[in-house]
Amino acid sequence: MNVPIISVKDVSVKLGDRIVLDSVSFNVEKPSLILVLGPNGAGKTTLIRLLLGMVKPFRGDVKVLGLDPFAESTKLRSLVGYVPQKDKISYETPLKVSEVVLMGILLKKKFPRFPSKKDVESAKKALAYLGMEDKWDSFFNELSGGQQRRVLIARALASNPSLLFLDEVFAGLDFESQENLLNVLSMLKEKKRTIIIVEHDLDPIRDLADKILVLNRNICIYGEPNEVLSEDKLKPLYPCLRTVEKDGRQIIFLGDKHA
Amino acid sequence: MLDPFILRAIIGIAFASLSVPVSVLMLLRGSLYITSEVSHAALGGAAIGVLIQTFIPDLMDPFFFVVIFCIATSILVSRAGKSGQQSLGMMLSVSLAVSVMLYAVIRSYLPIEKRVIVDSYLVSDLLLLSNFDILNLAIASTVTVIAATIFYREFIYICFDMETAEALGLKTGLYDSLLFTISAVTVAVVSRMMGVLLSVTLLIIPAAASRLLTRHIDKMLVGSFLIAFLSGLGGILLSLYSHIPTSGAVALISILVFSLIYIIQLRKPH
Repeated sequence: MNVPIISVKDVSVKLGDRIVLDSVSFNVEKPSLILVLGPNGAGKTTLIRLLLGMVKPFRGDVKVLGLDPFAESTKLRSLVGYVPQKDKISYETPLKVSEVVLMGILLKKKFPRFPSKKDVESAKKALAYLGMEDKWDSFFNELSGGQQRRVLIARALASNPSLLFLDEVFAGLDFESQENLLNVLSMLKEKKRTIIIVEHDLDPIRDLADKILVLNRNICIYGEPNEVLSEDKLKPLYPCLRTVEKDGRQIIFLGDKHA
Repeated sequence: MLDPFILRAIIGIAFASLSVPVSVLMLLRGSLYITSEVSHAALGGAAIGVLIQTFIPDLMDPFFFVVIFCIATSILVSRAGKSGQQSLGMMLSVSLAVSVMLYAVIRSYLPIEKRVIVDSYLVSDLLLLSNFDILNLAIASTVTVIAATIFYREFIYICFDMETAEALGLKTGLYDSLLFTISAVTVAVVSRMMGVLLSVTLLIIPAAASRLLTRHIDKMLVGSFLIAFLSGLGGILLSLYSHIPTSGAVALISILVFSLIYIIQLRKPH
């Protein structure tokens, strides 16, 4: 029997006195792109932090790539890539793109974390994969928002992870940058990577998603997009939801304001 | 041959300047303002240290207590900062109040010759540094520089992206506390050199000025050392020729250097 890529059974997480995730259960069986949606404060980022072993559940069982994220955190973290929300980055620290991408490799190495020739090659390869090789010597904080997001994805890919966590990477991007990012995710999907992507909005990622997980402290809906994306199912979570028909396609505005 | 007082002042400023680049790391961490607040703790530590030295003369130099007080305050303030602005503001005010209270109360019970030592932490004079002071500064600065060099990459990572650093397995809490600790040692060193009241001129100005000069972190680190050292040398020279207190002269030169750099940057086309 194949080990699921992610297995979460009846997991509850508290932050302080507040229950942020309550009896969450779901499995990811095969390489796929999972879109995690939910209103503000639904626990989306906490779910990622849980899967990375950064927060401990007070109940339930979590396995990621067959590993316990807490007991086997070192091994697990060497197998995953992570792109945080943009407000977690300090733009006051003037790092070059090369240093940012290498960070994804060196953080997984043991002290003193000196980059080898192979590490530099891997970092350059990851950057080239994102079409950003000419930015190697540029300062990260001088790039556009879309370019920065691609560099951060290159950083996550540099160590060749089998599982990728992306936290609101589409937030605040213009149309062209969104298209670029979608192409990158599409290429990663073709390479059979598992991608867990947390977003506030369905668009532009909905067409790439293999499954959608709608979270509001517990899992409200989890299934393929055609099962999930109906007004009846989403309306209880998003009272301001609106649907519009355009060119035979149903466009859904969730109507949840970003915090 | 240089006068021993001047020689000790130059050696002292050299060691203090060596630890100043740690302030650049604190600037990148967004926590540079804490260093000036932590410097107040030096006063409380000095008062306790001198009091203990009065009763047990050979136990420990007061500078040791200054270092301990600065580290404790720095760690407490950094922890409070994680709980929110209100806790941070409260902790900063409490640490200042406790330090000044300790200084005022203990000082009133000390014999006059000991009061001078405590007062030297409030407003210091570089020319009055003893050989033992220089030894203390040398040890503290060397420890600071070695720690900052060894863990440079980890410090930069937590400054740039603490979330990912933690996600990929770096013990961010440990390295963050270590950064605040070596910053506290730097505060203790600079406070011994300049006195608490003027220490901010070497703790903040060289880091802020070098940030204006360059975008490269390595150049910022070297720049902050050079600005601190040259301000120190300039201050010693100014004090010798104008008969103004050395710490005041060093502070004056560093402020002039910062103003000059700031004006030049303002006039540069962006």
